[in-house]
Amino acid sequence: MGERTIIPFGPQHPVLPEPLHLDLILEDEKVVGAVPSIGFVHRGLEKLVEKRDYHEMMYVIERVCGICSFIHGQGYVQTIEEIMKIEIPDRAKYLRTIWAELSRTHSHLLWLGLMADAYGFESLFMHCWRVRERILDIFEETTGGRVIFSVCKVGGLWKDIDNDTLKRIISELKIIEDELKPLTDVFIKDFSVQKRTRGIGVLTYQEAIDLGAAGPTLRGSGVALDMRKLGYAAYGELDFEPIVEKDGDCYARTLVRIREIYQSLDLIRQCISKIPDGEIEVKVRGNPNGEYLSRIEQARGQVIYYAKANGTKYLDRFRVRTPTFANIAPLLKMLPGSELADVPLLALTIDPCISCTER
Amino acid sequence: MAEQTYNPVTSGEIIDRAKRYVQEGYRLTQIHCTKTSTEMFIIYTFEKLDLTCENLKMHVQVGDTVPSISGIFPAAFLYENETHDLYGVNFSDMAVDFKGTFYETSVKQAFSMTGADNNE
Repeated sequence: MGERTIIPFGPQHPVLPEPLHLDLILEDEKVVGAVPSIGFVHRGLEKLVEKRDYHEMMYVIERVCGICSFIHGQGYVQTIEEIMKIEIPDRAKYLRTIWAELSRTHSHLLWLGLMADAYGFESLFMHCWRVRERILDIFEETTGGRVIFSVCKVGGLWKDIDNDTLKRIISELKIIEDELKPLTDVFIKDFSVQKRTRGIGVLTYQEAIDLGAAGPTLRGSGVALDMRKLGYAAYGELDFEPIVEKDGDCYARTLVRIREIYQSLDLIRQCISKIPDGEIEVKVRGNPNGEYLSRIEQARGQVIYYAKANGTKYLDRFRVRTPTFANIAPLLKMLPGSELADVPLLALTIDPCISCTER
Repeated sequence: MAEQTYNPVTSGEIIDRAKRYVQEGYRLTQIHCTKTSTEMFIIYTFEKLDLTCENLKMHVQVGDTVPSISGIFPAAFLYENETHDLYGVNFSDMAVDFKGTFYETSVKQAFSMTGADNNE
C-alpha cells in the first residue's frame, strides 16, 4: 500500500467550469476515497419566495441555471398549476414540450463539447458547440432570448410560435441532424475516445438505484427511469421509450446522451406534427393554497420541485432538488479505484451543474 | 392531475418505515425541510421504477435530533447534511457527517428564519 495523499480538486480547476470541491484521497495515482464540499456559491434563491409573488418567482427560478433555464421555469409553473388545479391549453403543452426538448438538445451538445475538451479533442469541442449555436438561434427566433426565455407563466405561455416558423424549425432540425452525425460517430467509434471512456467509472445497475442516481447517469447503468413517462406537458401524447445503456461506464453515459439528442429531435418533430391550434393561456385568478411535489426530466436527469402555498401571493416554500445533487453520491462511488488523471472526466460524466445545485 | 398524499411519520418511526420502503422496492428520491410561520416539517420522498411515488411528512423543530436513514438509503447523507446546515435540524448516525460545513454559507441555518424574522 502506497502512502496516502489528499489532493484538493476544485472549486477552481482548469477542466471544471463549476465550483465543485473534492478532497481526493490517493494511494500513489489511484483514488481510494473522495469527500465533496459544495456551498461556495450558494445563492438561497429558494428563500426569495418569501419576498417575490408567485408570478414574479418564475423569473427567479428560470435563473437558477443558464442551461436548464426553460425547464426550471416549466417545472415551477407546472407545480403552481397543480396546486391551483389549472389545466392549460393543449397548444401550450406542446409548445412547452418543444422548448424543453430543444433545451435538452442544447444541454447535451454543450456537454459533448465539454467532454471532448476534457480529453483534449479541441476541434470536436468546437464542432459540437457550433452545432449547438443552431439551437440557440431557434431559441432567439422563437423567444427573443438565447439563455433566459421568460416564455412560461402560470396558466400557459407568453409567446406562441406560428406555424410557418414551426415548419422552418423542422428543416433546421434536418440540418442539425446531418451536421451532428459525423460528430457523434467520433464519440462512438474513435479509438482514443473509447480508450478514455470504456470501463472507466463503472456504476452498476443496483448502485445506480441505491445511490439515487438521476438522468443519463442512471440510464447509462441500465435503469429505464425517465420522468417524461409520467406524461406531463405533451409527453403523454408522444411515442418514445427511455434511452438505456447497460455498461454503466463513461462510454455508456456518453451513448445515452448522444441517443437522447436524436430522440429529442424526433420528439420535436412529433410535437410539430401534432400541435393543435388554439389558445396558449388561461386566466389565472386568486392565489395558490396547498402543496405539491413535481417530478420532471431535465437534460441532466430528474428534477424535483416542491411548493407550499398559503393562500397569499407569497409562497411559504419552494424547493428544487437538482439532478446534480442526486448524482453526487454516485460520483463518490465511481471515483475510488480510478486514476487521478480520470477524475476530471468522471466529474464531467455526471454533467455537473453546480449553479443548479447552489440555487 | 395526480393527487398527492403526505403520510405522517414521527422520528421514532422513520427507521422502520424506511426499511419497509426498501423491502417494497422503493428508492429515496429526496429529503427536504420546510418552515412556515406556524410549523416546520421534513418531507421524505420515495419512488419505484414504475414511477409510483410516496411522501412522508415529519413535524420537527429547530434543534431536534432525528435518526439518519443514511444506513438504509446511502444517498440520504447529502439531504440530511443540507437540512442540518440550512434549517438547524440534527441527524444522529449520519453515514457522512460534515458537521455543519457541507454548505459554506455566510449565515448559519439561514432557512430556519421565516420572512418575518429575516430583516434583510
